[in-house]
Amino acid sequence: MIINNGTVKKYLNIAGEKMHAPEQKIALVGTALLIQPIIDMSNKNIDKETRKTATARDIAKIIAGAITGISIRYLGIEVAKRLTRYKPILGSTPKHMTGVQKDCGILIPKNLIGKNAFKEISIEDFDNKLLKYIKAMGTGLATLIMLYTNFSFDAKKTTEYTPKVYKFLFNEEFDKEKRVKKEQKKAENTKSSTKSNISNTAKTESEVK
Amino acid sequence: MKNPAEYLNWITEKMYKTYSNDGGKLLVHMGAASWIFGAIAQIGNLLGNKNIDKKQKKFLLPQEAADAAVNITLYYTICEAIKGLGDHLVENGKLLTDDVARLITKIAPSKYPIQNINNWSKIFKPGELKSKLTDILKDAKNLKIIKNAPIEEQAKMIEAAESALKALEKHKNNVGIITSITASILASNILTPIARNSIAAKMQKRLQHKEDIETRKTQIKENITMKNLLPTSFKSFNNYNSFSGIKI
Repeated sequence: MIINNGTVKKYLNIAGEKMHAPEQKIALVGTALLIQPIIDMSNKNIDKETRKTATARDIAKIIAGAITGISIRYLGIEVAKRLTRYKPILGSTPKHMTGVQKDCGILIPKNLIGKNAFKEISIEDFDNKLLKYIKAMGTGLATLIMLYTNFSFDAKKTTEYTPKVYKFLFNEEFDKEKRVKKEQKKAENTKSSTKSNISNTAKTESEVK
Repeated sequence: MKNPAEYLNWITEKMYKTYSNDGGKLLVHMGAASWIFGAIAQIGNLLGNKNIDKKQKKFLLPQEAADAAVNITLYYTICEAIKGLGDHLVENGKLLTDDVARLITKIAPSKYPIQNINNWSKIFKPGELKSKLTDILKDAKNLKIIKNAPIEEQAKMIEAAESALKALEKHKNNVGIITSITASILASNILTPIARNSIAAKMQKRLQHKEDIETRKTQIKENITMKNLLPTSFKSFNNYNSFSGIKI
């Protein structure tokens, strides 16, 4: 099949040039928030209470993962960008280069700038190649950082957000003890209000008499 | 032994070689790696969470473990399969853009130009198309059409092949990104939650059954006068076990 539709080609190019790890994470988070709660709530293999906890926990996990996942991916790419800065050795025209000066960033790969890489290349082409590498390296760095943040942030925040999400979704306390106490208090209040209602009615009756 | 600078060079060169022209491959590999790290963290955290009661943990822990195993396996296999299919279609020339096809037709010698871009494959001899299109274009100087062309024209044809290769690699990268993102959404958000829920429920039931048997054994040990044999199945155990009566 030969694609000749301009719109399809445009979106293919946008995907290749603009989309990478952070955008993938955004797409994943968006669809996860739409789909996963439905799947969790329709899981009839477990009791209602566990189903609710599982749903709240999954949403909390998605939110916590999104905060770190998206920001750290962007951060990783930014770090990689800063560590791959270079000054070109200009070639036959100011738009061409024959190499990079020695004081370039430590993350520039030798096989991109080595003697066998190119004799002369347009700076635009070199930057395009470098940008693809930066995104790859940045995602690699982000994955390493996330090895730490998964423990220090994601997991803790999942625990922290679960009760909040639970309360938001089901309008009741996540903690069973608290819920029981609240219900008891509610019952007591109803009792006392009924009692006072009865005594009020009795008073009114006696007054009438 | 390598010094740190050599290690760094090795890593950067490897990253450049493996992932620079194939963003989709990177998304699949790094995605799987982050699933692994995430799963380890979530299981560790769930184990130490005192706010979730034992009964719920009995479901959530297997759910988390099943989640991790299913997520990682499904994610990787589905992404690899879908991305592999996309790559295969591009490399076989089944999914090209008109720009790439046009650039390939430009390899043709000026004496025998190819006007119709749909006939791009005529540049290659039948046996040549068995390899990947990118590999064929990388080794353009060995193409029969170039070898048989007049020497003064060969350099121009090789140059045309390089331009075609550049466009093809870009197109392959674009397709790779789209297929990996689509595959990761399908794997992570649709297929894995369904699969892991059913696996976790089965695991929970098995654990519950095991625990019930243990409880029953303890009850029997504690009651020495008990003369009835241990029921053979969990169902019969349930039928037999009447805690309100005098059987135990």
